[in-house]
Amino acid sequence: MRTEEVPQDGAYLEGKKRGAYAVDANGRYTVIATAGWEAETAATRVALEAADAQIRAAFDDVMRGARSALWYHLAARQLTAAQVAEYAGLWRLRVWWHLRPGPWAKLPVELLERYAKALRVPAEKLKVLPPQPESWL
Amino acid sequence: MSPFAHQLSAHCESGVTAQLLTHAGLTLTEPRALGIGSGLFFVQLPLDTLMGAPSTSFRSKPGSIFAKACRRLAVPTNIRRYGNARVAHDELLRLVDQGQLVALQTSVYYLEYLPRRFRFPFNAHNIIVYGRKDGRWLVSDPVLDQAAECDDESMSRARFAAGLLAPRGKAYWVEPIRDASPSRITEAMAAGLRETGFTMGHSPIPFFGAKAIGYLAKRCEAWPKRFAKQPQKALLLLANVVRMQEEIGTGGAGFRYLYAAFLQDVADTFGDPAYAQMSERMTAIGDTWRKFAGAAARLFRGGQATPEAFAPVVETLRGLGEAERALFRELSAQVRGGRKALPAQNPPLPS
Repeated sequence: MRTEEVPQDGAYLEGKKRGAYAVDANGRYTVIATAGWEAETAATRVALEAADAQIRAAFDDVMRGARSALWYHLAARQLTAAQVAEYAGLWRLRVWWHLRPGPWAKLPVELLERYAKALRVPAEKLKVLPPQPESWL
Repeated sequence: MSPFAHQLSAHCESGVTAQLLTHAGLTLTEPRALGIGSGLFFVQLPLDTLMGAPSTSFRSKPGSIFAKACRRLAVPTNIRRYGNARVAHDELLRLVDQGQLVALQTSVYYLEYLPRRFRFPFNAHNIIVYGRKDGRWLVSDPVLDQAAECDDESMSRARFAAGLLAPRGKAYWVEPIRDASPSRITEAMAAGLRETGFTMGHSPIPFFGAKAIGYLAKRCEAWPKRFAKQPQKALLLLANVVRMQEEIGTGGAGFRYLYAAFLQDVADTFGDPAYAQMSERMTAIGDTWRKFAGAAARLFRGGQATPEAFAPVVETLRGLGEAERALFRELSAQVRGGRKALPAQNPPLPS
């Protein structure tokens, strides 16, 4: 690829630039800044859409009463139960238990605080669902 | 020590390695760091995903570029992991106060200066901390064009993220190098070429090296049929390949342009035009990888996942596999000068 062919399709980089190697007029490789490439953006978009679908499915599960709000908050942050268990310093089995609506409703305040810190969500927001599922797009 | 100036690179780990060593007194470009550290590789495992992450990779194991480049250049390294975020923070503070550049392995998810859509859970991003101002870390992220800042809380989170390839607070640095002999560089470059030539061109395991690209083509061909009922899934798997190639730390076109730049450098350093010719072929291969990504992007926009729609993409991949296998076998033969292919050997460290 030549330096003048390096794509500059800014969208997902929010005005920031990344480095790319390309051949200059003398046939030598140099590093130049690129604002992004639309093929790359298209691939990222597919992955973000898949994440959104997962978040919506989790939202619906919680609305149906099949899972606790924690299930939604994990999906919205693309975290697994194992990861949040490590951040909160809990056993995985306990996190799994709290993914059920009943135990989640009866969660002691100090445990809720630990989840809030681990997920970086205020405790009062963690207990309930937001009005709309969040989007990564 | 001289003040540190942020430099734009195409890939995080080779950029970090180049900047650490250059700052320590051994001038090293990014393509050299990649080539000496044998960063170019290809993996396709016989699974669709591995713990939620794509099972395709264009790079060697995270951390190996730095480790191999330093070993081959006979530069002593300091690599630490921590069990405790507090201890990791204090040690970083102490090193930075001494004016030491420190590289960290981090999760992009918690680095708030990065564009939002790139902050997915990926744990092997490398950055340099070069100072501290008003209680915030001054960060040089080699893949961005400007230096950035990061607060303590995000930094601790990023360094102690859980999941696949968890960094466990990994910090690494190089102390000032007093005697940087230029003869080491050529030896190190040859060692890097030998290893990449062997692992890409002669790998005995079909899931690694250029053969694995053909294997990926075979898997890719099957996706439309396997996911006939959910075409989005087939497209997602293909999108993951493109993301691994372009976005997740490969400096674009899966390192091919960076490696072409390295081969150009090798041709000049060794005075051997055969490498310059290989560099041009590598550039053409990089262009084909880009063409593959462009064709895949058209598939994503169309939303179609039929065997016919996938056929040209699969053909491109297959062609790439063959072209790369031929090129890396030639590269291997060239650097060995006619000797039998054996795994790369590292020069012994001087005692």
